[in-house]
Amino acid sequence: MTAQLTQESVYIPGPNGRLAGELTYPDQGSVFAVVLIANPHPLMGGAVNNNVIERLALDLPAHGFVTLRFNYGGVGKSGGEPVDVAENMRQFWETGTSPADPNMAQEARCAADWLGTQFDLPRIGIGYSFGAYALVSGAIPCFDALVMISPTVARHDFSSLKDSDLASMVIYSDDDFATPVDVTQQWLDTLDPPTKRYLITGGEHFYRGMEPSIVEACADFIGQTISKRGRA
Amino acid sequence: MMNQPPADNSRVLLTGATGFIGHYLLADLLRRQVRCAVLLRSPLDRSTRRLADMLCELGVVLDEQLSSGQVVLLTGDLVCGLPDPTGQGIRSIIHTAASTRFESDPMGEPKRTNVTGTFALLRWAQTHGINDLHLVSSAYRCGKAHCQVRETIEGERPEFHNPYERTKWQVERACETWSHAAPGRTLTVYRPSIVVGEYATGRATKFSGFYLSARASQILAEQHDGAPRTSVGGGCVRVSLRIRGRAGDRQNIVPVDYVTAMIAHAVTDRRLHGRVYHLTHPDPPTNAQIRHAIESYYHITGGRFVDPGTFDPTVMNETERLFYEVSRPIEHYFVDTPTFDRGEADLLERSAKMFCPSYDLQALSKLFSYADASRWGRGKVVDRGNHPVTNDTANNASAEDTPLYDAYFKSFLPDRISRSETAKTTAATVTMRFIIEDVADGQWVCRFDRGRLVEVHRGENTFKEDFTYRTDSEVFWRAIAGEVHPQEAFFKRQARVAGNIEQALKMAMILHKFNQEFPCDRETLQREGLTV
Repeated sequence: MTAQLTQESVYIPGPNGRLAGELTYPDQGSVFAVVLIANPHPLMGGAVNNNVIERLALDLPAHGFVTLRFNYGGVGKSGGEPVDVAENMRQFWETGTSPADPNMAQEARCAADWLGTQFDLPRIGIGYSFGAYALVSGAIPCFDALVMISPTVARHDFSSLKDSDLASMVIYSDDDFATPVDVTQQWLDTLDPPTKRYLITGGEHFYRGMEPSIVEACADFIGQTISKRGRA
Repeated sequence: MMNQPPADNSRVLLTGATGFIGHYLLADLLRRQVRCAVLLRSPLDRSTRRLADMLCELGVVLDEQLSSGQVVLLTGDLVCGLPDPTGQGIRSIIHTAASTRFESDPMGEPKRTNVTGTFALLRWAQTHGINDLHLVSSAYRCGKAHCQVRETIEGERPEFHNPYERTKWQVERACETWSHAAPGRTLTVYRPSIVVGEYATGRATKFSGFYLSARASQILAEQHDGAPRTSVGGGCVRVSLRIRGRAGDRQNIVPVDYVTAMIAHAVTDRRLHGRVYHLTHPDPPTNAQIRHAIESYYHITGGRFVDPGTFDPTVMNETERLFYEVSRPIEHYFVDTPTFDRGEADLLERSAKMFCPSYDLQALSKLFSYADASRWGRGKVVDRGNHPVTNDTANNASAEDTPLYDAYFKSFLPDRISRSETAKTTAATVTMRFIIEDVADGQWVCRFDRGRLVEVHRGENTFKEDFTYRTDSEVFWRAIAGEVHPQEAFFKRQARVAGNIEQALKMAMILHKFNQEFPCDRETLQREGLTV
């Protein structure tokens, strides 16, 4: 499916300065939902040009969705203190987390709120790796459905999902370095209502070369979720 | 027809001819007037040049062999495609090609070459009606052997120390199945133990395995006196080093020229075919003898064996940690030292009128001396007449740049890291291996300790790394100039990572910050006159 797209640079008010985002939508045809795509951790390749983030942002509009991706504060053109300062990297080296993590969750919430002010359409969140945590920890109430790609359940707190009846899907890999597959599956077993599962073999965590499969899985899930809600 | 070349125009196909065992074996076969077809990888001109250089070292002139028709060269690859042998008269195969990596790497080795490659060769042999196969295997396909290992293929699948051993076991079983699948097929298996340098000179082209403990000792010695130590002299350096193993256990090493002479003899006598030979040492040196030779050579002392049952790895001192980082791949060979039945090998020796030479202090020292002189395989140093060793492996990077890589890793990097705020603050402790694929011998291992770059070594036989970052020269130069983020190169599949991926990506972020702090290019290195 090919479609002419418009890419529009936008600035979103954030807690520590404005966030640079990119809105992508089809030039023609109807749109059915807006999708916020949250990046992995910026110290682990999390920026708008990440291979998975970029493919989702550019390919989902062909399915009738508006996408928004944005850089966390201190990354790229987003305002705020730079994330890749040595002190952040020191803590990240030791723990896999950085002092800036809570800010990034707040920023994800700001982006979700901003989308709500711009579009009167169902809102879907797609969080990849740390981005899944960023959405779950702050923005769940904003969404009609949520996709988590390789959520970092082994190192971040995803407990707020337990209190939610949000329609959700988890895309995960059988050889993920960040969260072993058995840990992910044990966590999935605890979720009620059950979440949809989509297992990718050999994705590592980075899904290099497997981006189209992720786009298709997301498009199918969002489409089904929207049509169910429409019927309801 | 003992020890006579085939009377007809038939040839034997040799795989792995540019390998350590392979080129010695080819030289032996040619001296015995055996007509050979040699399988070389593309591009043929580069592979031919490399083979010619290697044979030259052994006194064999490839051009003469080619013009006399004694050797023909065939272009092909075990995995990517074998050549059409029509008209070459190939009747036998000697299969020496193998990956000797103990652990699996991102390229799929050792399984790719050893298993996939051999399976392809067997299918090829079947297609072209070649029924005589000589397989150079390894005595250590026995894995963790609890009793004397017999010269047979059958037997239960053992427990293995590493993927390398498993591939060797799998290959033997596959070849045995092939040999039983049709009448007239013959399989002869040669199982050398740890193959080391030529007995008289110590010459080797590969310094992994057995050599790692010597390499570790050399690094320890250098660290203690701050200067390279490659020969005996001056006062002894005392180190506190517990070695997990038993002093009386034996390391079964055999010289390469003994191994290939035995194989060449067996190949040329059909009565010796269809058997399994343990080309192992009947009286190998003990761990204590080897330790003594290493300590004498590097003029250090203080190593002591500790029974594996009582060795506590949680309380290692800095010396021990360093020693084990380097020698980790062979650690189990200090502990598990199988014994090998040599009934068939004894018969072969008697037939060849050749016996495995014994290792005393002098013979062991020759091995270390050669390794030192050849800079552990980096080449172009050992002068054996008019034919210097070269390491002209297939590479596309400019040869003029070659010294610059060393200058970067061994001069620029240590100097700037010591001044880097990024390095100081992040204080990473990690050992990483850079592999620049299109550079000959393009491997450097850097060991960081709390942000300090404490060791840099070039080559395959150095520290055990936490991860490997592999890319090509173009991406490398752009990355160290701060133009390409090493993480981004990974995500765009311009680089590959093996080992601890998380550490690799974290380190990539730190290095990018460092590269921005101290960008480097060819001009910088030349302008500063950095050398190694």
